[in-house]
Amino acid sequence: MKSSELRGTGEVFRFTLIQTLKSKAFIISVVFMLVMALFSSPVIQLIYGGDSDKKIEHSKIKKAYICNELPFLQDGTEITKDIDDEAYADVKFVVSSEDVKALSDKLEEEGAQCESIIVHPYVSEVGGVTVELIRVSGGAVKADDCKELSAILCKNLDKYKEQMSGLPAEQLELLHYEYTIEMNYITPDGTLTDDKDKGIGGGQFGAVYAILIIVSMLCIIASSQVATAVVTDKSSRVVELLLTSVRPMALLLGKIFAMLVATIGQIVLMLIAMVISNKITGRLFGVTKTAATTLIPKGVLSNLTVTNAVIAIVLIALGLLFYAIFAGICGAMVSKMEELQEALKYFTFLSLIGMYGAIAAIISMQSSSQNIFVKVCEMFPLTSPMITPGARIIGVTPISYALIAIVILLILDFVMLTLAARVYEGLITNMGNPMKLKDVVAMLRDKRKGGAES
Amino acid sequence: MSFEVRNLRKSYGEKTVVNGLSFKMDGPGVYALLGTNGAGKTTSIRMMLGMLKRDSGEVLWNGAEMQPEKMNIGYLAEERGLYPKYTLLDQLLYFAKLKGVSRGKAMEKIKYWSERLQLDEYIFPPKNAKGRPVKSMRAEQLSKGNQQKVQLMAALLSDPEFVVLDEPMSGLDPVNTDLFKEVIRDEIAKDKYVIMSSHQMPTIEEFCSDIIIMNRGNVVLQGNLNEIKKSYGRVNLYVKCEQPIDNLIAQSGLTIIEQTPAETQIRVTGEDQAMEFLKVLLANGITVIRFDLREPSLHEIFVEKVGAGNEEQ
Repeated sequence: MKSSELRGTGEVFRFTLIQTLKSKAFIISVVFMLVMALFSSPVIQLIYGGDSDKKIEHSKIKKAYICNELPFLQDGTEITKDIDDEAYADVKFVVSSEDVKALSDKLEEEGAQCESIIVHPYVSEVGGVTVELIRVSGGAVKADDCKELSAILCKNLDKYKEQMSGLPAEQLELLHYEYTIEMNYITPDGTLTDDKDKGIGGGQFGAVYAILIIVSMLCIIASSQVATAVVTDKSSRVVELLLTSVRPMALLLGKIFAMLVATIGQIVLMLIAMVISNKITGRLFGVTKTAATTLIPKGVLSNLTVTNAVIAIVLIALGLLFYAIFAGICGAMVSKMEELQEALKYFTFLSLIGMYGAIAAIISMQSSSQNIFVKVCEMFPLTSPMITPGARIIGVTPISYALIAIVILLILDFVMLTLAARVYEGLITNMGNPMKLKDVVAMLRDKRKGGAES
Repeated sequence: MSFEVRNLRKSYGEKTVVNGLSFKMDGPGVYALLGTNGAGKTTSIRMMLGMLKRDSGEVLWNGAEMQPEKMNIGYLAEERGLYPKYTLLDQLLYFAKLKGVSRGKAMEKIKYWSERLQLDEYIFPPKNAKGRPVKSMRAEQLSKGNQQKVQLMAALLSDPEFVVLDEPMSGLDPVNTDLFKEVIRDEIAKDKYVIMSSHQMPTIEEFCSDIIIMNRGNVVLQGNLNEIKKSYGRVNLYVKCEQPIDNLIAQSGLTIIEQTPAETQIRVTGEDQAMEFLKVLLANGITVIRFDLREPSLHEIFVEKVGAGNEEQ
């Protein structure tokens, strides 16, 4: 694709974005979503606020043995003090004099009845601080409980770090490392096994599912708007005038970026409104934690670092770009607004594969978060934008898989743009009958063919 | 500057829609593309403007490959188009911006053209009864003729050096036709390169010095209009007499092309045959009211070349 092909993209972007923002349909939908978002927190507060304790899901952990091996902690209670999360209010933290092995054997004997865990902070062999949480396989404590607690302990470690000043240099250096969380369980034969692949808990499922729904919504809304904008150009016959100033690819890309900005902006506005609403509700009702806040499971976003947020945003953006380009091509296959639904069937089919595939993967994550189906879906370009951002944020998807998914999507987006560059010109100037997918394939085979008889 | 089209070809499958179109404009002027519906005029224009990929051929501006998106081209498409839901001002500013015209300059131009084309009440509506400004109208609120004027305005906003007018006057009432003609005349006077496609032969005769007649993708006639007419010679004889002359026409071996109460149109081979016929009339005591020998009209040439019945008025 030559740079001249993209000349005018900015103008198309600005015009499309401004006209979209000025359209009554957009204004009404934004106002509706904002009203919903602003009223969400007070309404939840009114419904659940009176007896919000009932909504607190108490942790299954009843006792936590602390086996501290970190040199800068006295006995490890420094990080278990002041846990203000009510879910862990009943947990009894006990400093153990026994070593991890002896304690593991003791807990393993309790079997399914075991409601205790071991908290084992230590200096790892490669350097840095590791906080290991050990539970009994098949016991009452689930991986989710440990995951949430580990996030709280790490936060407490951070707080403790701030108070440290008189430590020796090598210990201060340890504090600068990023903490590693290790979750293990004790098998019936007494061995310690990695807890990573034991499936996600309800809270994590909810978080990934919520992100999937938001991404799917973004994808469907933005892509449909791109297709509609393309057909508007064709059905209103403006496209011929535009093509004397800009190339077809600039028209397509300008529209895609405008619709993505408008749709993402809409969602961001809604999220900001929810946060503001939550803050105001807290002040109005005189509570530090609103009922809406307590509905978000603790610890599910513990892996939400800047790096992971960037990875998630890049994945979502690349995924949206892929779906939007495809929708744009579908839109260009028809010339009349009433034919749009017919053309969008290809897009609908593709997006349904992506959405249902991602839902199936999330469901299967509950039993095993790293089975082969999940691994494939985490990297498959139709499903990866919907599942991988959430799965990465809750710490299920390894960073290597997320990066592979980004690379695959980048390649696919490039291929889609190249294909679009080859067929879009022919499609956009076709003012005749709707074109079929086979016509587009035929166009791809023969670059020279373009459009129907005028 | 020069504009040249060399051997332009386009096929869809087995069907050739443009077959070897070539012409050259060495200087400013108006070149006409004529043809019946489906003759390939619009396809040719789309190829010239880079909207459609050509199978072969070249489109040259000043001897180099023409890059429409880098040029200042004004295009009034046959398929008229405006965004129905957007305000006229917004879309005119957008079209101007795409041509690289600054907002200030574009506003200036829009004001000029809206006054000239009598569109100011739609683009810059007066304040309402409460003295509040009223938004520019949307395209869907305008009549078809007024929409066509807005499109002409969009084509000329950037003061283009190269203008393509595809059926500019179709569907206009006589008043607006005159308005359009006046605008086109002014553009021609500014030494612009104009390509015009039309079914309206009198319009072509009024504006165009050179023509191409296309039929089913092929060029059937091409060249300077005056020279083409000269090459046909003065073969149309219009006669009006007080007495009937049908038998004398038959005796002279001539053919009647058309007969109306006002006149009889006869096909002759040239001036000599016309003079011979005049002598016959006078010798038979016929009172001749009108005896007019003319070149064929563009209409007649067109019909002859592409076949009767295809032409739309």
